[in-house]
Amino acid sequence: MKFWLFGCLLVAVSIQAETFQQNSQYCLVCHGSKAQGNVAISAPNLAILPDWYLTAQLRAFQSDWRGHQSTDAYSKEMMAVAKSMSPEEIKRAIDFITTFQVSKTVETLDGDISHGKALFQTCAACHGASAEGNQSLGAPPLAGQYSWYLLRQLQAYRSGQRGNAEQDSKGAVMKQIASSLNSEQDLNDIVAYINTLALPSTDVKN
Amino acid sequence: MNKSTLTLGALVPLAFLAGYYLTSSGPAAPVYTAEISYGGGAAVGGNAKKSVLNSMPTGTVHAVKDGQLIMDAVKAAKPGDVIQVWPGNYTETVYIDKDNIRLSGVIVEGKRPRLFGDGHLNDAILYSGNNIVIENFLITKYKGNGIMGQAGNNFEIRNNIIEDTGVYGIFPQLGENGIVEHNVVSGIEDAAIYIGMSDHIHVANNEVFDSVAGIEIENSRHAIVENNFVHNNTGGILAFVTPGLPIKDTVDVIIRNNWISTNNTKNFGAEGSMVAGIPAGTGVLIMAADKVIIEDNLILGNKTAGIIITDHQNAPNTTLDPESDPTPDEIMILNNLMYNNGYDTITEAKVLLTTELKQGNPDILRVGASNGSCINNPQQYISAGVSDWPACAFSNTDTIVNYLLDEPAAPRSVDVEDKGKYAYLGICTGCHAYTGRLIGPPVQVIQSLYMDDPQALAAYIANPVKKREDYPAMPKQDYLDEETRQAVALYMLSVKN
Amino acid sequence: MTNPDNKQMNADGLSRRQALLWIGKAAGSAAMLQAATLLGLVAAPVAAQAEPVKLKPLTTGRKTVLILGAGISGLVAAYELGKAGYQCKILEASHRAGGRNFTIRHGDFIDELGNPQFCNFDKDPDLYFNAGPARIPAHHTAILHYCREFGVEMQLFCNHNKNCYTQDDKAFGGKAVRIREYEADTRGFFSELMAKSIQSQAKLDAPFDQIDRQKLIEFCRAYGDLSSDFTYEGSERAGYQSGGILSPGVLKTPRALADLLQSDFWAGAMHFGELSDQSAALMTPVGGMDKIVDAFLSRLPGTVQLKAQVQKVQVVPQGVEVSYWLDGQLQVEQADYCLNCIPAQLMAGIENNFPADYVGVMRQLQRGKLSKIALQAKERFWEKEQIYSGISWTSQDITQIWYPSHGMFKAKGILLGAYSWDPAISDRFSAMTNQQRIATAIAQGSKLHPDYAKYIEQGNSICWQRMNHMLGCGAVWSEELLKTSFATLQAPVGSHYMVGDQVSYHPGWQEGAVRSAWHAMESIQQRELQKQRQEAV
Repeated sequence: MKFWLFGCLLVAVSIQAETFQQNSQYCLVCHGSKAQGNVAISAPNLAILPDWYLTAQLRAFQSDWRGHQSTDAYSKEMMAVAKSMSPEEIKRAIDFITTFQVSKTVETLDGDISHGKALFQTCAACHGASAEGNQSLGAPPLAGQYSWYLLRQLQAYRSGQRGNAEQDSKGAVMKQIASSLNSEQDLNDIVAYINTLALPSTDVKN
Repeated sequence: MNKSTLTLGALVPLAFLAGYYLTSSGPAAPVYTAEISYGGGAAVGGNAKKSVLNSMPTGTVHAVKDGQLIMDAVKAAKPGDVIQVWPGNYTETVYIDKDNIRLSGVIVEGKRPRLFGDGHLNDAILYSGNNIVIENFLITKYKGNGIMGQAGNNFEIRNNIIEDTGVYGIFPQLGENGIVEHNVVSGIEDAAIYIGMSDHIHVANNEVFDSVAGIEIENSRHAIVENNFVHNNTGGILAFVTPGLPIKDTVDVIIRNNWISTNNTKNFGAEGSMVAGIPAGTGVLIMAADKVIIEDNLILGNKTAGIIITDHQNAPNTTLDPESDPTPDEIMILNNLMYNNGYDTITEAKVLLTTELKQGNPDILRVGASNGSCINNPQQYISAGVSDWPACAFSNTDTIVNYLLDEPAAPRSVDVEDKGKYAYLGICTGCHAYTGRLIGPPVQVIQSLYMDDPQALAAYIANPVKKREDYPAMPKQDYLDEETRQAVALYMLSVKN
Repeated sequence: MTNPDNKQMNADGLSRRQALLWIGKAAGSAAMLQAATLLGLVAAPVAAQAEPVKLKPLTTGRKTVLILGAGISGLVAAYELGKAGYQCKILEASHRAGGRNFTIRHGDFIDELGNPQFCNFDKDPDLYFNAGPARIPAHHTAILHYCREFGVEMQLFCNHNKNCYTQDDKAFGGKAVRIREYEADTRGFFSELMAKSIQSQAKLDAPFDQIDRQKLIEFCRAYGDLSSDFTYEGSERAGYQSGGILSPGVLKTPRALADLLQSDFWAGAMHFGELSDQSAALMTPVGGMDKIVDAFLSRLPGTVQLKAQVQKVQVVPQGVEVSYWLDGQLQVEQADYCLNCIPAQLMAGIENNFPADYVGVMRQLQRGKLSKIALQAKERFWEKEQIYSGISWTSQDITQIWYPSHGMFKAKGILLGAYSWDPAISDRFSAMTNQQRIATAIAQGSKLHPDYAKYIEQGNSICWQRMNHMLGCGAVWSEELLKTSFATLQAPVGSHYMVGDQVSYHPGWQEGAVRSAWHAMESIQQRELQKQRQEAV
């Protein structure tokens, strides 16, 4: 069970190879020991995400689609990490992450859930009625994701910090949809509603 | 009360009255007689409307026999022609994009021409022409629509039997001046008869059953629904405003003299769709529609409630549309016979009754706001939410025979620039609201997906691929020519609500 | 001072809270907290006890202790508990011990997430920089206790050097000014103002009415170096314009008070060296702060397991069970006690069975954001500018330039080219690559030293909020959280203790780490003594 190494291993000075942590469960440092995310680090829940979405997002970070224009320091952190990873490392990291059971920390969020539910009908077209995600549309599961993270991403799409890159067609879809929402309150209500949805089952994930 | 008696008389499908008499000598073209049907109506007097068409067909009669394709005759036909379809099995989609065509089944000793979708075809009959008559068919096993009008004006759809056919049985979309009568429609996943974004419509003497919604008047104006037998659906008769459609209101609807009974069928609508939110056991459902008169109906044995009146906020699976007024205003409940409704109602109804210190099974439930509404003789019903409604200023609608036009409506523009618009309104919006889920995903989402690539959207329309597990597959729209597909794709990407 | 939350504006439109930021957390939020105490914003915390911990030899049989993290608190715990007879094991997630006590020299690896670097400074014992703690004030008796006990050789460390510069784009046309000049002139002007206002009044009001008027005026003269008529006409404290040795010294013309006040230097940096944690004389180990780590490690052979990443911490009836990754395998180990030095923000993401309020505090602690950029200069050009050690200040993002307190007259030296503790600034640095950071440091430093770029050969940077297995510098407690939840995090859960500078009123300082470990060990000792008494009965 070797998990992924530093990307810089390839470029690093060879004399120092000993100092690297060859077996580090690197992703878990920020994303929590079960890949469940960590609010204190502002790291999202990865355990709910399927392999295809994780792959796509690492690619997005590598290609400057995510993080590049952001004023959000957290996405910059992830961008730097993603850029240090080779395709083989990405594959190994994702194989590792997807071994974790889906889990979620209970959150409470103030928001008008019924209004959020009404607004969510639009989201459901791609993300599914239970926010379980849809691979053929590239729409990730949302159920089980942290509210603060969803909110931050919706804001990033609205402000154009995410979904702005020319080749990022999936991001552009989200950007346009997020821009059609009227207010911060709308975002909050949608997220409050998503927060009430049950976790996707593990077989959906795999 | 003599109207109720009349209603009872009209409940038996009178199909045979409307058919042709045929000699047994074979497929000789029958002699055409004028006024082959009548347009029903509350007053079966001399003023009943017979037809929305001004003239009888004058052109050629094309006969289609078993083993031939109806579509071949349609292609050959010119405006004014009659296409006579003889009994037999026809597995095809008929698409009429011409005006003044009469598509007429020939019934021989009770045998009708049978349009059979074989479980894989989407639509039986589509028309986008004006002045279209469709009659005397048996339609079964299609996935999408039995008969769908796409922005055609002056239509008559009568005397058809539609069974187990997809999402909509009879669905005139964006039509003006039309009659839907003497049809028997059953086993439909959404609405058996669905009047969408239309004006001046008459829906009479139909039997609809075993469907999710019996008769649905949606985002339409000036419609009368009368003398229908509506039973064993999830919801009987619905007057709706669906948010997110280009036509924003439903106004002036009369629902009278219908027999609306035991609409207690478990809801089998597609999950997440708006009709999937209808509680089983709903006799009449008014959502956000204005000026709806409910008069002289027999409403019996609907387990949730006889009549439910709601605004958008309280309805499940609805999105909000800032341009739609979410409130049902000026709802007028005149005399109705309501009996044995609400015996197995929803918790919300019980709560509502309790707040009014009432007990029993609700005939009428009103939730959310409603302005300017009235009710006559409310004491005869068990109701919640209408106790502060005043009496109506009138007791019947006898003076309104129908809302049909005196002269046929002018055809819609066929300019290229309007092509996309009417295809959009007439076809796409049948399943796609701007926001929220109707049948397919919202237009807003589609816009985001295709944004500046109408070619890709046009290509998808012609050859859709199923992408969403919980949505029905989109039917191919390849009967539309390339120019129209391109135009509608462009239009769809440009609409703002 | 009726409502401390109101932004009380100072003369230059700078609120006290902004001033506070300026003083900042130059070495962690403790400085901030202390400054706040000085400014009357919070109550002063009770000073910790001075006596070093003295654990009695263990008499209750074999006791095992798992210590999570080989930073200063973990090392102190292993050392003291080991001496008393406890069996200790330290699990350290990274490739090295020391935690934030990290001295970077030739060949060292800086394990920053997504931005790993090696240090390419020349191989020379004087070419290093302390990426974490760099100075120890005299009243940090706990950490000094170990320096003394281990014989760690110490030297003086200079924070405040009047020959260093202050540079603010808003003042003096953006040109750097010697701190001595700035300080002499401002003190001079204010003393003059004071002296003249005393002179002009026939009678002093309370509370000055009992004071010897002449003494007060003389105080002003002495404080500001005023002339005989109580005017400030410049002072040799500002340095001579010319002369002073073989010819008479020529005073510099005082800068205008209006110009002096344009700079933000007075709002915080000018008084930085007055803070109790920052004032002379400070000390630092000769050869790098990690000499302290080395001293601990040489006394703890075989105790530290590196590259052991904790996966799960469970409080169990017998003590604590810890699961961790080692060489890609999940290991499980139980112990009677667990001292957990994992940064709270990381622990919040590690599976555990702690009570909700305990984890709740960890989730609320903010990651400390702090960046340093070290530059190797091929020539000690600052010595030519009569700067030996100390700190120059600038209003640019780099905030400070440190000149080494050691290695005078040697060929090369390591400058600290940036030291930023403002979270917004640190975010800007952390978003850059190492090369961009160095380029930024050089560009901004050039406003203080015009030929700066010419001398800088290479550099390394560290953004603590991005360091692997740490993800933060000193924990950031809000005043409110400190009030409501400090005790919660400090109290044990079963046999599990959270320790480290994060569980002290002095986060960001080794003193906090040592004291926190002492505090936990005293609690453990109490529990063992109680057991002993119970067994005796």
